[in-house]
Amino acid sequence: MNTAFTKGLSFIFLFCTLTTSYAQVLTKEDSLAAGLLASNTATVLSGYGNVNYTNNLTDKQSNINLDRVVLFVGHKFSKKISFFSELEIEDAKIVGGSASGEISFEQAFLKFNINRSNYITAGLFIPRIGIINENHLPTTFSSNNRPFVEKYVIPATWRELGVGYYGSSARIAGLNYSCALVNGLNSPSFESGTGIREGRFEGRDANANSIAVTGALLHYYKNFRTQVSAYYGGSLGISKASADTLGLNTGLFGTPVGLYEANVQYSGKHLFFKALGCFVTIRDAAKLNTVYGNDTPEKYFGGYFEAGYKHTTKNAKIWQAYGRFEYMDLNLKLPSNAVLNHSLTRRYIVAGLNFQPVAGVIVKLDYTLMISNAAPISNTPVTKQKNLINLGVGYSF
Amino acid sequence: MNPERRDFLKKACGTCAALLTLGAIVPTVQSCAPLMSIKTDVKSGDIQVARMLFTTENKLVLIRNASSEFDIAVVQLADNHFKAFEMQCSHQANPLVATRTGFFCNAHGSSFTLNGQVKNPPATANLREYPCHIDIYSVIVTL
Repeated sequence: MNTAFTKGLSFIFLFCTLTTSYAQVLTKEDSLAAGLLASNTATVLSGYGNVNYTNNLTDKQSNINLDRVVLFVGHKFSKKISFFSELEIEDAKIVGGSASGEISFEQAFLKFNINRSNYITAGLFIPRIGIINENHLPTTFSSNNRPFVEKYVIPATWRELGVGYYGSSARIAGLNYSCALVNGLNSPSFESGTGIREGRFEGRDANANSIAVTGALLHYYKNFRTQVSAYYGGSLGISKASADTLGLNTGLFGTPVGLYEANVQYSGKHLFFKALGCFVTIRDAAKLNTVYGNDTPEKYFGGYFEAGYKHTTKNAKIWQAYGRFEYMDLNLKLPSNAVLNHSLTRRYIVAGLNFQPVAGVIVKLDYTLMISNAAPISNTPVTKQKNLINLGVGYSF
Repeated sequence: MNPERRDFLKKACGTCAALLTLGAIVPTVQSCAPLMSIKTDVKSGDIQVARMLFTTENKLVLIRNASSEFDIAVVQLADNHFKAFEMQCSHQANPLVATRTGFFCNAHGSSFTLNGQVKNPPATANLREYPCHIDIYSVIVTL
């Protein structure tokens, strides 16, 4: 009797716990269906991820990897204040002390609405620079790998800690603007071949002695989306005494990095294209090379053009074929104390076919040809050219 | 090539380029004119939008209702066919940017047609639609 009673109580307790938990966290669809997103508070869950199989036809090597799984959690505290976060696990498995995956916050910030058209963000967020930086969900870009220019020239996904102001113009329809103040970069970590990528703090113990400002103008006109953006900031946060000893410039904008970018996208009923160009300057590259010997360039740039055709079937399945050409010169201007590496002048040709059986799910097949001006400096036999076949699946919801 | 001929070609090409640029800019500037908007404060019930606000150039009117969190876009799709949408992205509940040709989300790049349907991902659901009907003088949106 007691056992039955205990079991009954346990069942009721378990039932209450489960239903209470379920009621507290709603999916986006549940929230929308219930009209809760229009209420004062709501918690939203969503996410994205992708798996990628790569066959390197040149090296006769292949691998398969769960590139990333990202969980988005957002919460609206009131009509004026919300929280957004993206927690990412790269490469599926994180093992201490060995080269493996990575777990990180891609975004974690509070958003304060000033009015319907203007808001402020504070925390770890992604500045509006380039295309992939803000629009990096696998269903929003064509190939399995994100465009290489937006990896090596614009180090997407590039997030830093700071405060941002975003808005849209009431006077000019479709015009949006943003500016942000974020922590600077860490130039001692710059590596030849990856530009400023390794100098990002990404929210972890960032040196706040140097800062950066960034701004963007974004305009929608018919089927065009046009954007220009710029970034300028310091990249050396060491003390003045240390900097003087090393002959470097420190301070808020010491050892400055400038990044200037423009892109345009067209999305018609069937045809689409996107083009992007980006130019980076590191004025004190020679001084950095003297101290850190990391072959930092003074200037480098990259750009790409992609065009494709999209067909939507009667039952809403989407087929998409595209081609992309990318060019980058990561050694456009080198100081005399850096080693010239011709392999850092590269062209990429990507062609692929995508299929979306349902909105939010995508299957991607692409061929990538990478051509360098020279074989990379390496002890292993390598060629100037690589041929890759990529097959992947991705989702976002 | 003869220098005079080269000069003529340069000037002719320059003029053509200028005219083409001007031709592209003029409609762009017209299209960038501010959207028609009205301000209200209705907690529940109907909001009336005068039909005379909809013209051949202007098929969209924004309702900025103080009691609603997001703007409402009223779109004239045909002579007597209107729809009203909440300017909230169906992906992660961010506000949308309304233009004369569609609705755009700056957060992750979703876009929607004037009919409220998803045009570009990552959004997978169409926009939330408010019931609306018309009479002789007004488009009436029910909250």
